[in-house]
Amino acid sequence: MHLEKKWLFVLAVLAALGASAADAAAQEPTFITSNTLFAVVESNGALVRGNGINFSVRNGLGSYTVQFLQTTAGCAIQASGGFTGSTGAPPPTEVTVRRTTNKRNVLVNTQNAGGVLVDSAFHLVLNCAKGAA
Amino acid sequence: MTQHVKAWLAPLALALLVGVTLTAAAAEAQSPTLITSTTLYASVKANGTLASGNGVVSILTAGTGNYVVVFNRNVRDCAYEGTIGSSATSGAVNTGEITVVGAAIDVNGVFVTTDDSNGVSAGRPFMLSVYCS
Repeated sequence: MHLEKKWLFVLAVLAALGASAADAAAQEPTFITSNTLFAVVESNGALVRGNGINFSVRNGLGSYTVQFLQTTAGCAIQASGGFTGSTGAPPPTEVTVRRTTNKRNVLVNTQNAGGVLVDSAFHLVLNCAKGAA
Repeated sequence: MTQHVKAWLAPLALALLVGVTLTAAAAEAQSPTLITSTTLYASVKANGTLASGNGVVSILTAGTGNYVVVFNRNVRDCAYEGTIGSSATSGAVNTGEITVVGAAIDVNGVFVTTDDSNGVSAGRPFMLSVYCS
């Protein structure tokens, strides 16, 4: 087989680029990362601190909406009842979460140990496979 | 333009095109719009001993269903997520409720309370994750 010099040059360039890409792939970390966002919200709906949050608001008794800076689709959503500060012992609290028709929102409901809606501060965490608009 | 130069134009153009495409793809792959958090965690047995964890320094118990998990950094600006559960590979986990709050006694600590399903303090194994921006 006879190849002209110019095409040998192209093959050499492509081979070099391929090796470079393979090197980059080999250097990728072997752990799985996720996009993690969180909100720590007061019982009146005020956002105390967070990461990747647009706003939080109290909708009504024991009902809150937290809007993130990205879609919540495909994310694991977890929440715990508690206090936002560093004093006191929170009362037993049950927390439920779900997405809403607004793709960036999470609805949080807080109840007492008897399952009755009560206002409560909470910590909300999203673990998402990737960042998205 | 000489015939010799003209003969090299097509191979050079092809190599340039492939190079630009691969470089753009690599740049895109290396620039995800991720919102990242530092994650610490602990899997704690009902008796307050550590089953497994990341960044855990110690665990203090302070009465039935009261635990302080101390990490290796200040966690005041973080979100805490607790779930009742065990890392054991067999046995039932008693149901209950869990709350989280920063520990008053240590800026590196999270105070965790666990209760039974009636809201009465009770020791429970739990998983605690701490997310810091």
